[in-house]
Amino acid sequence: MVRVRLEGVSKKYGSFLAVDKSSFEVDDKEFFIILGPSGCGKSTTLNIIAGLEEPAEGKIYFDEQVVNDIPPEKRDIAMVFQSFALYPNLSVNENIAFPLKIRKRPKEEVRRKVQEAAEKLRIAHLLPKRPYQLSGGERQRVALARAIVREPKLFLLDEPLSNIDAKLRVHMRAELIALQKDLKITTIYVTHDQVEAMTMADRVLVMNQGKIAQMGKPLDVFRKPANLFVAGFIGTPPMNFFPCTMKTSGGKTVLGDTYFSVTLDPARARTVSEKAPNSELVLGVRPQHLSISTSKMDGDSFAAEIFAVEPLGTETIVDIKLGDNVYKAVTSANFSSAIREKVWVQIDPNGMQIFDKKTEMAVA
Amino acid sequence: MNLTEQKIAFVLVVPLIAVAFFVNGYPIVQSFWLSLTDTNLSDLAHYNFVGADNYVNGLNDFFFQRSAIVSIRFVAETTAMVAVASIAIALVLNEKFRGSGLLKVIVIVPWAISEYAVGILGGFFLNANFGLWNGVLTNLGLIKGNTNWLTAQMALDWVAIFYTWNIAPLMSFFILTSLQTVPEDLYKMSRVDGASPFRRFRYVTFPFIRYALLIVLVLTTMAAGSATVIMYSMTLGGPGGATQTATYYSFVQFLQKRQLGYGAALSWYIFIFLIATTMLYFYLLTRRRK
Amino acid sequence: MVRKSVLGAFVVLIAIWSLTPIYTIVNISLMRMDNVVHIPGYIVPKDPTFNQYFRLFGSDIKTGGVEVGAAEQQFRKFGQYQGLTRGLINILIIAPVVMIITMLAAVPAGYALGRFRIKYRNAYLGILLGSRAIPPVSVVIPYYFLFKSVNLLGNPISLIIADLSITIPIITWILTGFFGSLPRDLEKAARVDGATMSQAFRYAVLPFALPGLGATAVLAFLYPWNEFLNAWLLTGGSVSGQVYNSFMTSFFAMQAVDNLFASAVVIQIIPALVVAAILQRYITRLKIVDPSAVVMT
Repeated sequence: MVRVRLEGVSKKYGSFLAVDKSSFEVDDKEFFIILGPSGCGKSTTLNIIAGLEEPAEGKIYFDEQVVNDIPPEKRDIAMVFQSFALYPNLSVNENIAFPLKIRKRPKEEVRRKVQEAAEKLRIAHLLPKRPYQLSGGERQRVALARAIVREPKLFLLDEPLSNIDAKLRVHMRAELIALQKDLKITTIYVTHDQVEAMTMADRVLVMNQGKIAQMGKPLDVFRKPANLFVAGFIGTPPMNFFPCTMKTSGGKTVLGDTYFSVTLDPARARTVSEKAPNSELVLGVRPQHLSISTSKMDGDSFAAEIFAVEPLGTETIVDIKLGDNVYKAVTSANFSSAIREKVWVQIDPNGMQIFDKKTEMAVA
Repeated sequence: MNLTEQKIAFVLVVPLIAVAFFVNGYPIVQSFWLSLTDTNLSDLAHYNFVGADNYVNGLNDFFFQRSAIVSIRFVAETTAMVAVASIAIALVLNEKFRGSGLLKVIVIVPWAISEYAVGILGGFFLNANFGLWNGVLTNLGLIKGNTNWLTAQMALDWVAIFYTWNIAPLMSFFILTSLQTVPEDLYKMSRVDGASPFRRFRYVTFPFIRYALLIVLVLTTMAAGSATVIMYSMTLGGPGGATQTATYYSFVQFLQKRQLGYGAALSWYIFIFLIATTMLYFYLLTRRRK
Repeated sequence: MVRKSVLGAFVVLIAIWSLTPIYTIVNISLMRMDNVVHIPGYIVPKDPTFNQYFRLFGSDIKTGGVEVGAAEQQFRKFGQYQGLTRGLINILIIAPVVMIITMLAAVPAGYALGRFRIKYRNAYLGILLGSRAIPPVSVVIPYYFLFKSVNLLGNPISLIIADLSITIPIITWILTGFFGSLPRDLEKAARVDGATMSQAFRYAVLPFALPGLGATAVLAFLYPWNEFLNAWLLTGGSVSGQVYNSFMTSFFAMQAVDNLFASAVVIQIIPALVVAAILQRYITRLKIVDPSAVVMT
């Protein structure tokens, strides 16, 4: 329905820079997720796109049109908020009809569209009720119905699933994707939950401290995080970071410090020495790429001590202690071990991400 | 809750409640008893029991009837003005802007001034010889020569304005507290929906301040309905009884005419009127819910 | 932009609305009588002087000047100014006494009502709130009757009792809501750690409560300072027992010297201005007007 483009958009609150020269483009009919921790500027960005806040600088385009000076109600958008934002003294019916009534649509049309929207979200039986009589999940559906009733060209959703319980959230994720694909309306969705971003987005934009940390398809972002922030933010349990340096001796290049060392293949070693010569490095390894054994393994393996064991049923997370640091490894569910026991740890060479410690950017 | 706590709580609370019960109860009982007698201030020892005579006389007393109408007008004007002023002030205080802290201090100042002094301030402000109001209007060229504002037609309105000046600040802080419970998201939603400022107030703001407003209306009615001191210090009930409210009239019965019994009977009428009005508010503001 | 200028206009309007009446009386108090009655009136004081404030307390920094007219000599002769000073001293003794007794009674009771599940709590609260429902005029008459029959009229004790009958219930009410709103976890932790109830109060409640208690005490001071009806009726007849408010009204009812009256009123409202500045931050937290605050906590 519409392409959204931001060009150099900034927003300041006093001296606090909430959004810092943000530029990105959302494609037509795309499900686009802005992901980041609280206070990273993601909601501010959404509010700027909605026209609820004015950017300090920069331009916002809907297709080829600059919309900076167009007020929110004229941008043909619909929003859903974390708190659902239902008018408390209006019935469900009146709530859904509200945006249409304000636009003075004919009564018959209003009635028909409200009915359609309610049926689409399976809340037709709730129409005469008032918001305070509804459960969280029902309110959520009313908020969604109100958003789709006008058939806007852009959906803006601000953490819509944060206020409903965990079980329902999983269910609603699938339902939201289906709804978006069905309506084919460009959607920008803000969340702090990386699982939502991974599962729902066509593309995800990761924000940190007002800046774009990375943008891309969810799996690409997961596999090739551009920097330490994204690496640490996406994935559960979070990625392990081993501070290390690179040393070459006897034609062999190793990454390591006092407690461990791993061999680096020559191509990678070359990239690292080109991009970050003589730097302190950080080796990032996802817990899934650490294997643990009670006996010494072939290849590079190093000794560590069991710190804690967290059985999850389907798998077991093992916390290992290396020097003063604790790292997490995912093992099979039947792994068993005693605390303080000595174990051997191996890093899967395919799961290694190397970052420059100072710039925090990915090197290889 | 263990036994010691219950005991300690009992020791801390009950004596005080007993005293409060007495200080509230004594005047009620005493004033009801007085209202059934012809007690005169100059000779408290000798009085006659007169039954409902004082109440019957009150109904037939032209001056009391007139003062009751003055009272109703005063309560209506004050309540309307306080409601509007306190909501307006609260809406402004709820905005974020530089100097909002200072504005809060300024706003609350009139509340801390005594009702007595407020009346004096009002009298000075409107003084026909040297009041600032005349000074400003003359300097602006809006009036020629000084005008007397406290006339029989306008005096009550002006007293109501100054009474509003005195009590609106506290009420506005009360509304402000409830305004802060309006969810930010709902404001945003209404803007995306394109609701006009009026609709936004009606559907977003009002539902959240409704209860606070009810309390404001009740407290203002109670206060305005029993206001006496401001009439004394601003207009002495005049000119010609124009600002003589029912409470002021009952006060005059007591102080000048020295008729304790009659004054007490009149104050009971006022009390009943205030309770009835309060109940009406509760009915009007809560019936929608059911 | 439109929104900002509308807001700015309202801010200015509210400031003017709040301050003009006070300004008007300060303006008059700083001018000589001939300037006060000048037409058109001076919006800014002409030849400002603090002389009125000195005259109020019996000294005239412009001795022999035009100000000392017949009325002035009359006041001095009958010791009227001493009466005003006396009234000020009286209220400056009575108000702190009322404040202290109120706090001594209301803090423990408010604490107990606000934090413990006490039997008949709502009934107690209803009794406290009852004191606010009765019109003051209805209370004044029985009290006057009472104190006259026990011969305490003109005695400051009568005024103290009458003031306390209002302040204790109201302050207890406010403190009930206030203590109820303070966090409870630390107090529970202190009790679990083995602190007695009074130790828990001292270490886990009082530090958080102190600012609020200070603000409440200020409120308990302001009530007797501002109170007029009881002051006038109960002490008005006595030369030695009169307080500032009651003396001021009888004094200026007889002698209309407007600039002098204005300065007397300014002195009366100065504490109010100080109190407003102090209380501003607490006024919403103390929930001075909200009856629901207590019932709901």
